[in-house]
Amino acid sequence: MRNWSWHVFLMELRTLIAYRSDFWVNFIGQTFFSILIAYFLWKSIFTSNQVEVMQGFTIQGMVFYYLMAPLIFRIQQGKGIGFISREIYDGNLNKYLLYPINVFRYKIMVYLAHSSFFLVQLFIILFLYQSFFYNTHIYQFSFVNILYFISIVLMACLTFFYLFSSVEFMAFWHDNIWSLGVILRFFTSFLGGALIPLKFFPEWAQTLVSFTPFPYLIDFPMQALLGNLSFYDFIQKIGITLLWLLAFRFLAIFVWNRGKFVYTGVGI
Amino acid sequence: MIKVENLNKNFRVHKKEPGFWGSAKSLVKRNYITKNALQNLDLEIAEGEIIGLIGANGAGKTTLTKILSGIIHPSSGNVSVMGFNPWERHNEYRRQMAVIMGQKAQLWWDLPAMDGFLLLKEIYQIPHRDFYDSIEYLAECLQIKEQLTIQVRRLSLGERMKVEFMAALLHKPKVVFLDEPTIGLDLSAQKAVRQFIKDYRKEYNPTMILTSHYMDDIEELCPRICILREGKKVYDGELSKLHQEYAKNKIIMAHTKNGEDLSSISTHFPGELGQLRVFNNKVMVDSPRDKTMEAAKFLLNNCELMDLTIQEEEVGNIIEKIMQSESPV
Repeated sequence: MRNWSWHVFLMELRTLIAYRSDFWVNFIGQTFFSILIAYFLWKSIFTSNQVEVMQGFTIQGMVFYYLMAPLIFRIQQGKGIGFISREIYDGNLNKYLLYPINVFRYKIMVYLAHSSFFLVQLFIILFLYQSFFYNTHIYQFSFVNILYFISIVLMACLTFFYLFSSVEFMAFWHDNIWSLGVILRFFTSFLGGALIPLKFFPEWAQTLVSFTPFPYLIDFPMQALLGNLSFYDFIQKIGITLLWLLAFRFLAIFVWNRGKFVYTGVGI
Repeated sequence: MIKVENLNKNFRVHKKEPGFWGSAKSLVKRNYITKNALQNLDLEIAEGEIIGLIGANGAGKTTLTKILSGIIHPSSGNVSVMGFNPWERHNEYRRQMAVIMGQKAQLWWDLPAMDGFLLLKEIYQIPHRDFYDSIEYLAECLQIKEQLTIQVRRLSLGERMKVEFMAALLHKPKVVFLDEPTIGLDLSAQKAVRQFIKDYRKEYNPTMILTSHYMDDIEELCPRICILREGKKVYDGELSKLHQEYAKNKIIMAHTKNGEDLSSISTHFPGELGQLRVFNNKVMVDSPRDKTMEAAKFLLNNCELMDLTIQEEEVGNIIEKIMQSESPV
C-alpha cells in the first residue's frame, strides 16, 4: 500500500524550504525579535517592582519562557489562518475534492509539515540556548521531558487543527472569515499562556481557563519541556487533551459535512 | 457512460446595491436571489464520445462540469457517470476521471511539475513503470520535457497548461472534463493543445466534455455539441447538422472589375433570390439555401465577375443566434 500522506508531508516541507531568504528571516528574525522585546519589557517590569522573582520566574526564566512559548504557539498554528478558508473562498479546494483522497488527511499532513518545521526550529534554538546559557540552569535537558513534550505537542497540534478547521469551515457560509481566525488565534495565545504565563492570572481565572482547551495547547507542552510534569500529571493531562481532540474532531467533521453541501466551488 | 436526468441546480446569491451605501446596508440586511444555474437538464454521452459544451457566460456550463466531477451537489435530478453518482465521491470514481481547468492551476505552484507528478503517482496509485511510460509519452507529445524540473510558477501560460494536461492524464482517466483548456493561450499554443487532444483521443479514447468559447476548439474537436442558455439545453446534436437545420441562408461573395456600374444589378436583382448588397466592386448576397444556385447564375449572367464564392454561414454566428433566440430551438 503506497502512502501518499508521507509524500504530501515531504512535499510541503520542500515548499517551506524552497525560499531561502524567507526560511532564514523566519528562523532567525522572529526568534531574535521576540526574545529582545521580552527581555526589555520584563526587565523594566522587574526593575519597577524592585523584585528578582515574580510568580516563580526570574528575568532569565522569563526570557526563556518567551523564547519557547511563541515557538510552541507557532508549532500549534501550523500553516496559519486561511489554510482552508482561503481555498474555500477562491475555489482552490476543488482540486482536493477531485483527488481520490481524504481531504482531511491531506490537510492534516500539510499542517503537520509546518508544525514539524517549527518543531525542528524550536529544538535548534533550544540546543543553542543550552550551549550558550547552560550555567543559568533555567533549562535542564532530559530525554523523558523531550519525549513527553513531543507526544503532547503532537496531540495538541491535532487538537488545534480540528478546532481551527471548525472555524475555517465557516467560510462555506460566510466566505471571508479572516477576523474569526484572528480572534481564535488571540484567544489561543492569551488563554494558552503565550502572551503572559498563566501563573500571572488570578486564581479564579486560572481555574476558569483550565476548563477550556487552550492551556493544553501551549502551557501544558511548556510545562512538559521545563520538566514540571510528573508521570501522573502527564497521563492525566494527555487524557484530557485527547478528549478535547475527539470533541473538536467530531465538530470539524460535522461542520465539513454540512458545509460541503453549500460549497459552490467558485473560480473555475 | 454519462447520463444526466432532469438536473437542476439553484444558487442563493447575495444581491448588493452598488456604492458605499449599498455596502453599508448589506452589513445589516441582506437580500438574496435564487439563481437557477441549471434547469431540467437531460444529457447522455456515450463511451469514448467527445462533446462540446457551449453557452454564454453564466449559461451553466461550468456548473454542469462541477456537478459531473463531484465538486458540487445538484439541487435535484439524477447523475450517473460510469455508474457512479459523482457527488458521493467514491475513490474508485475519482481514480477514473480528470478535470482540466484553463483558469485554475491544479499543480503545486512553488515546486517543479515533476514533484507534483510524483505525488499524483502516489495519490492515484500508478504503478512505477506505467507512471514513467506516461511521463515519457505525454512529455513527448506536448514537447515539454525540458520544463518538468522548473518551478511551475516560472513557466509560461502555454507551458503551464501543458503540464496541467500531463498532471490530469497521468492516471489515464476514462472521463475527462476540459473547462476552457485554451483560454488565454496564443494561437500556436492553442493549436498545439488541440493537436494533443486529438492524438490523445486516438491513443486512449476517453469520454470527454469540452467547454470552450473558442469556435476553433469546438469545430476541430467536437462532432457533437450541446448548447446551454440560462441553464437550459437549447441544442443537442451533431455540429455538421447545424448548417442544415439552422442556417437558412448561404452567402454569395463576388468581385467585379473595377469601375463596373453595379447600380442596374441592384435594381434588377429579384428579391426572392435573397438580399443583395454592393460595396465598391464587391457584391454580397444573403440567399436562401434553395435559391443560392439561381442567385449565383443571375450574377454570372448579369455582371462581369472576377471571382465568385459561396459560403456557409459561420458556425459561431449560428450558435450565437441559437444562444440568443427567445424560445428553445
